[in-house]
Amino acid sequence: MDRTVPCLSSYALEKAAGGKGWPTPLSQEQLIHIETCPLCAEKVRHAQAAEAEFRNIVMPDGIGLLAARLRRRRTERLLAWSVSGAAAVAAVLAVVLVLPHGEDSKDPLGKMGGRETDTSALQPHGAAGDSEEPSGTAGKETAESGSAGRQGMPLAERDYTGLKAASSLELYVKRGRDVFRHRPGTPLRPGDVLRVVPVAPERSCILLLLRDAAGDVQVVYPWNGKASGPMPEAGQPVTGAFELDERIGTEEWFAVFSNTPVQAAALVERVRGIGVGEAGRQAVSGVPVEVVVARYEKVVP
Amino acid sequence: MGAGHVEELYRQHGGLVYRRCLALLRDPDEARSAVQEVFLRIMGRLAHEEEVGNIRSYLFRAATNHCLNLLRDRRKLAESLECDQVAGAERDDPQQQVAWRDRLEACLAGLDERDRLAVHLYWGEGLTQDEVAEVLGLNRVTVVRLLARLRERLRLKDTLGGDGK
Repeated sequence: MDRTVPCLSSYALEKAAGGKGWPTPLSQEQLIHIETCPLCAEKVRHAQAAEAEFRNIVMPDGIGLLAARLRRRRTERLLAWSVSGAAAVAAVLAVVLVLPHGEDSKDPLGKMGGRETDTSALQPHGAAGDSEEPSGTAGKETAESGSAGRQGMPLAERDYTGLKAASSLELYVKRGRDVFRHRPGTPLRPGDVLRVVPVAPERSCILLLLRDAAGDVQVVYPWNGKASGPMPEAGQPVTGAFELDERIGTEEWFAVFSNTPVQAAALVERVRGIGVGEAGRQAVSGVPVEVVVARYEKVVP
Repeated sequence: MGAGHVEELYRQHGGLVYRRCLALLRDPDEARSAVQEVFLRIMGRLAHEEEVGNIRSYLFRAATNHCLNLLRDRRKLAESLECDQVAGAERDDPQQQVAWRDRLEACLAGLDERDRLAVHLYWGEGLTQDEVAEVLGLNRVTVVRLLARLRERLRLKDTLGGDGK
């Protein structure tokens, strides 16, 4: 038995039995372990036997039963709709007529399964709404190309509103059943779950750092990565949701956009060494990067 | 998400759901019934555009949740847990295994669905933090914090022995 890898969990065994299509494949060490561990090999065989049982015995009857139940459910739903149809149509028309239309309709809120309660965009640092600083500011500052010669120098704050292909960092907050887009000055709470949508059409790489309320800095995208990762598709959040812990205080998210991967270690040290609210006003890298900062206060309601 | 799509999911991934239900419920008839319920619920959830992410992880989670609810209703939850995860000297002692299961079941009572699932997967079934993150569809940093909070809340360090796992 391979002693370097512990016996596989039920999830890993399922991957071994269930083939492809998982978020991550089994590691080489896990595959070797299965070959050398009689217990795990037996579990995999057992799972494969259960798969055969499903294919040969369960599915032939089950698929027909499932189809019938799905049809019945759809019929029941249509019946329910027909009863309340007039009221529903009236309500929908009222909503369509009253609600504003705009770019928020493209927001990925639906992915979080909640209700949008605030559609205000994050304001760039220096733009309207900054009077609420420093609490809850989502700022944008740059260490733009040429920063190699300006490393460590304060950067002039710029209003990026209206700039073509301006970059930003959008935070979507899920709180209970509600989902809303964070706006400057809005405090967040422990337990809020964030999804982070970077917007940088002209950048191909992103490194996402979080400085939490305790001042600890960590690379959250790519998770514990040593260098930038690829930008997600337009309008999509970076992988994973982030639940805010119990510690109250100011937290800052740093999106470091670039067109070539940048190393994380120096950036982490740099961010760790500067004060809250100062981050982003200094060039944080010797390579052409663009830094966007989103900031909020975490408070107990 | 139409009925045809759900049927296709059933054909492609029904085996995964069946194995999961069979492993937790340990009864082929109950597992067959549970598979039907899981796919019926999936249709409802996907119709509301619930985020799915990776479909196999999602089905693993959905099947586990459904079975945990069934087991909770039948107060058999602890019996479903793998004995492999019992800590230290308790592993070889049947009486201690029963006691450990009772303690874990007591811990699981009162948690919401996600937290209960996290406790079950991590402490009950021995999934790694990365695997729990995959199943729950969360970033690993969130899972690490979640487990730390649950460990503190449930005092698993004292209850389950060692570092809580």
